[in-house]
Amino acid sequence: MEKGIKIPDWLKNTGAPCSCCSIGRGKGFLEKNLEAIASFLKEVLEPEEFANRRGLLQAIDPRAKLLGMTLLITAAAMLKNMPALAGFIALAAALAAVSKITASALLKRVWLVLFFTFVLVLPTAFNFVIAGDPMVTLFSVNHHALYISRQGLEGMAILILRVAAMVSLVSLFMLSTSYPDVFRAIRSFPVPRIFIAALAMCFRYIMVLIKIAEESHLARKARTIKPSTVKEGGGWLAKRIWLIMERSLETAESVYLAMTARGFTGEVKTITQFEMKGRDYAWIGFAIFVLLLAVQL
Amino acid sequence: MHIPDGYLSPKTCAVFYAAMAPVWYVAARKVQKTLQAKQIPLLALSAAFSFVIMMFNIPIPGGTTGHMTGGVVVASVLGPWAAVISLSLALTIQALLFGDGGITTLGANCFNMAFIMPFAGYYVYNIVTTGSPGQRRRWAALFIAGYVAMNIAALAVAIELGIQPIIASSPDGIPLYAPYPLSVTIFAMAASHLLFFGLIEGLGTAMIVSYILKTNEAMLYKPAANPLKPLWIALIILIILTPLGLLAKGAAWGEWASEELIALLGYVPEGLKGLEGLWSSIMPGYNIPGFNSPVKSAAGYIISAALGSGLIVLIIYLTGKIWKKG
Repeated sequence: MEKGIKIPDWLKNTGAPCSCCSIGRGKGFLEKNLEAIASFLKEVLEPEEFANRRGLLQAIDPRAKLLGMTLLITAAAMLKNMPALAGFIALAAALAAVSKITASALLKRVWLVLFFTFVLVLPTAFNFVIAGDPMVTLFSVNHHALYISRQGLEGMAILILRVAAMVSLVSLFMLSTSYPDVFRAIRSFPVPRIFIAALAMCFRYIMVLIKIAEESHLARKARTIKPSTVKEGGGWLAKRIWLIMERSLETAESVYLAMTARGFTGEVKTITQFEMKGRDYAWIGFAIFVLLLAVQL
Repeated sequence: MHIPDGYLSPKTCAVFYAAMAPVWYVAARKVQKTLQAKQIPLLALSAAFSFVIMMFNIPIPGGTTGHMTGGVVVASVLGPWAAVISLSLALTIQALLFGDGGITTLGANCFNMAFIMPFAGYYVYNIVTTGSPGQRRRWAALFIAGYVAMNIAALAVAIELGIQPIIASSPDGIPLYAPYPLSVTIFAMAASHLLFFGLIEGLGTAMIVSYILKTNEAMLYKPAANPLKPLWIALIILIILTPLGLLAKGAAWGEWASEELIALLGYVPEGLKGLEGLWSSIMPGYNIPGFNSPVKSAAGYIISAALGSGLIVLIIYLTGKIWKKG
């Protein structure tokens, strides 16, 4: 082995992992950022597949769908009891089934926030946060007791169910709608056109900037032998962020010039004709009905 | 920092959408005036830039990494008003397309991260760099701006979450939305942000903006002379002094409640009696319901004063704008 290639000493000395902290082992910011970029791109591309399937939600006009979903989310926000919230989750599951959206795709978007909520509210089940009628007493010494209270458990369940219902509904909208349609849908809401145009353009250019970020991180990773120090790493990242910022300002200038060359004067014009079909009316009617029910409950 | 759907009551969500509407309006007008037709691509690109910054892991001492929101970085390049819009756009994309933060809570999230953060950071930086700062002071100012802005935004989140059990609980005391009281939320947010997230934001802000300062200072936002500064300072002093009102005995002249009217006049005029129940304010007696102890009461008084005066300034500002236009 020693015959052909002689590894220079400086290359062998890659810096032993520090035993007291995580420097030199595990993932550094480069790897984490590359992973974040990869999972972001995957997340962007995945919904397109479901949006192209033939299902109930895909058949509804995106504008009617957004309005209906907003009403349903508002209804879920107003509910005050567990059975009604559970009913909403059942509704979301039914909508997913008839829209050919798999449970795994839906869960992937919902589980993280649900898990976070669960961990966050877990202590509220105990009497030291919300006192109430004891359900399960863990221990009791003299007058001090630790128990799970009915009120605490109920409050915890209500929040988790509500978050599950609301996040599932938003996710269903996103999974069943392609990106251009999402922006087309928002356009019919009373939001200034400038914001919508900037929003759609922003989404497009996130991809461009992410590409620059990915390339610069990959280039750095390819040239990395030993983990950089915090100062080096921070300095490098600051330069990359500055580069991305400069590119974005340059691109904004070029895009503006290109738009001006094509006759843009600052006023945004769109070709949107909103024609509601029977099923769109039915969908909005259904959402209003659910909202009215929720107000009563 | 991103509050998900379901954590805030519909009332709170509506209040924050309503609070952000005039902010967005003023920001759009300010940006329109300074950037004109260029605004759309510039805002879109800077929003995309804000989004990308929020994705990055920043290396911090100890070998770990953390995320930053970049509110102060964007404000220092575009100015606070344009930052309001580009950060709001970035937060909207995050909420709509990626489920980071809720749709119903978007108003509150924008209030915390797209309004409080860039403005707090911008003013803190300007205050610390008054005079002719050297390189070190500028670095320190950027760090402090990021750190303070992050912590003020975190305090806002803590208050928003902490008031939920007070304003929305079922009759038998079961919280319907975020369950923890103010004492817990403020402690939890303060601990994590004073010790960890604030440091990341401060460090990230200092690293990025000081690099721009070194290489291409022209890229940074240059504010015009700010004649409003003394007004702001006076306002802050007034807000801090408001608890003095607690020391004064009796009601303000002409602001008698029914009981005081009975004591003064012996009866309540019929006309007033009919009107009294008409409007029960969100914070009766300039206090937040549930704030009973003297310390809490003073805190409630300060919050009420800050909100009230902020609202009045906003109304005056908007009236002025409309007046000028007319």
